[in-house]
Amino acid sequence: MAQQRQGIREREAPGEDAVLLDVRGLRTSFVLGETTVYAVQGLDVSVAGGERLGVVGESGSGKSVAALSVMGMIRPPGRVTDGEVRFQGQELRGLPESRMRRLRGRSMAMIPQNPLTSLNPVLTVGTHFQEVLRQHLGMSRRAALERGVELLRLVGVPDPTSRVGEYAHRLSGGQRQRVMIALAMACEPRLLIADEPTTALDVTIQAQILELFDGLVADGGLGAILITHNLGIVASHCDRVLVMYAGRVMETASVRELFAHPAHPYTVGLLRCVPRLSAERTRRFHAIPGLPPRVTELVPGCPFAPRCERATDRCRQETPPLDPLATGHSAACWHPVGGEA
Amino acid sequence: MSTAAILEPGRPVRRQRSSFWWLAWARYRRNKLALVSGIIAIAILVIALLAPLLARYGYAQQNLGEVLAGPSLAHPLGTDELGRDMLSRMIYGARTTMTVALLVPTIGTLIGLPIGVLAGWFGGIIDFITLRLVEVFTMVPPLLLALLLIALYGSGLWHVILFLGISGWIGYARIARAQYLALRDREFVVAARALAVPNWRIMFEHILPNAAGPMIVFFIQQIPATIFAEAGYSFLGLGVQDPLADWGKMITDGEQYLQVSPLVALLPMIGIALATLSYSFFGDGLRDALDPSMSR
Repeated sequence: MAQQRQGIREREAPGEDAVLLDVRGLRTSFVLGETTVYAVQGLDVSVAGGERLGVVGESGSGKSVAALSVMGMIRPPGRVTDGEVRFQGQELRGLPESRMRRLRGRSMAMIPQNPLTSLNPVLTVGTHFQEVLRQHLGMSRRAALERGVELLRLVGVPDPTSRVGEYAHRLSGGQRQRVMIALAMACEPRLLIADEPTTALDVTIQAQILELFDGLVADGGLGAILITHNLGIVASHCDRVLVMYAGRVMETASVRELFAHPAHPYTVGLLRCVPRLSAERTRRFHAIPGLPPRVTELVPGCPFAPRCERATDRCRQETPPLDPLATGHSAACWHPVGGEA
Repeated sequence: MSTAAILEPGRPVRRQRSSFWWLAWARYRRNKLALVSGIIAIAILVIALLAPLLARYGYAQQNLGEVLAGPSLAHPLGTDELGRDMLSRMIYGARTTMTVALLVPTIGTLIGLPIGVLAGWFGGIIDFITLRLVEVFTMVPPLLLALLLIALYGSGLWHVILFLGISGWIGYARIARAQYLALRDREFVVAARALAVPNWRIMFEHILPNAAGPMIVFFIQQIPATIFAEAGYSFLGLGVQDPLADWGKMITDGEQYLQVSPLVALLPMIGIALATLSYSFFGDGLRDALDPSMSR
């Protein structure tokens, strides 16, 4: 463990204070009657200001739960059972809800998964802005509404003065996502978590939203976590990647490194799943066989072993630690692709 | 950015009304049965509200010289066995009926809604206790419970209202709980939590309006049942007492003179039927109109 921490520290070169979010050994589980689902099992992640971290993984790999855990928004029957979440040097776990509330939406904001359903259908766009701005910045209703218009203009919503009086269903999906982004940015947060911000949008709108996202990170110098299952998005809009599987980190590296030298067989599999126009027509579309497990038991061994081509007995018996392979590149695998660690 | 420039200067296109309630009205309007029922239902309500202005005679004003008279200019619907003007008594009867019909669901909502909201939103032990309580109350038929309370504490208009109201809270609690349970994990609620909107605001400003549709529908659907229950108690002599005009009691009183003057019992029957049916269809129409899964 100590060695692994060392490895992660090294890559955050420009001083300790640049680290915005530092998560160590985060565990979150849900108790559902007799069964316990271990959704996140020892997550280590850090984000620096101005850095865009991509978190990829299949559905159910714990990406969203991890995001909610960081935001302190896990509700019963879920519980964060272990680990540290340091945000701007402050430990968040154990903070009373009233203190978390002051951070949430103000210093750390989240863009929820589905823009189509994330706006309350009975409230106007303006009301959403008023709530946030009044809550965190104590603005008057009028001032909040004006600021809302300004923010909408900033995120490129056309005709913001009349849009601010509209209900959500009058806006297109892309516009709704822009509104969600504007809401998240309303109090100028330091950390922005975007949970699959583009899944419900069509491709051209996706590109626009992601460009907007890039612009906000670059201008504001804020740290951003982009949760997605789209490796294409990660390749062009992130600086660093974290690959999650069954609630664990499988591999983490800079984007360039990960795409050039993927070490974990799971990452390799994910990359092979990306369809390429250049591939010959005859080649069949690649898929990783099997389904990701729903982790209800803590058994030793690599969670990916049952689906892994390279799995050996050791993989089935011992859990591989997240070991550094090169500077800023770690993988949790006994038999990494491309040479031994 | 360029699109904004095109759209900005004085839009000639008229803004469409587009709120949730406006769309619901657009859907409601197309259901003719519901529309007519709604008009009748509201007419009954208006008659009830304006009873003293509309009725030419007081509901207790007797004229023993003109007992069980047929329709005439002075008494368009005739008189009852004590020579009271039937039209005036029908109008005042509507007032009694509507008082009960609106207050009973209101009391049910006042008790049931907060309980359901707390259970649905907080879940856990609060939800568990509420559910057990609901189960216990479900075992006792509400009408029977009200009957028991009336037997214990006596009859009369206000007792009937109070007891029917108290015994009907489960339905409201169940609906409120179900709505909050379904809505509390919706993404707009998660989004609101992510922006640290306080709990009470989420409960009352974000979720309540979204839960209002089914609550309102249930409320209105309870009206005909309440009218019927109250008429039943009054018919049995457990509800409204003399001389207050009430349709249920008017049937009991008029029943004896069915062969002499059928109108005396028939009119309140029509009144009850009309009120019950109109509020039923009104409620059904509202349910369809407020169903968010139905588009225009």
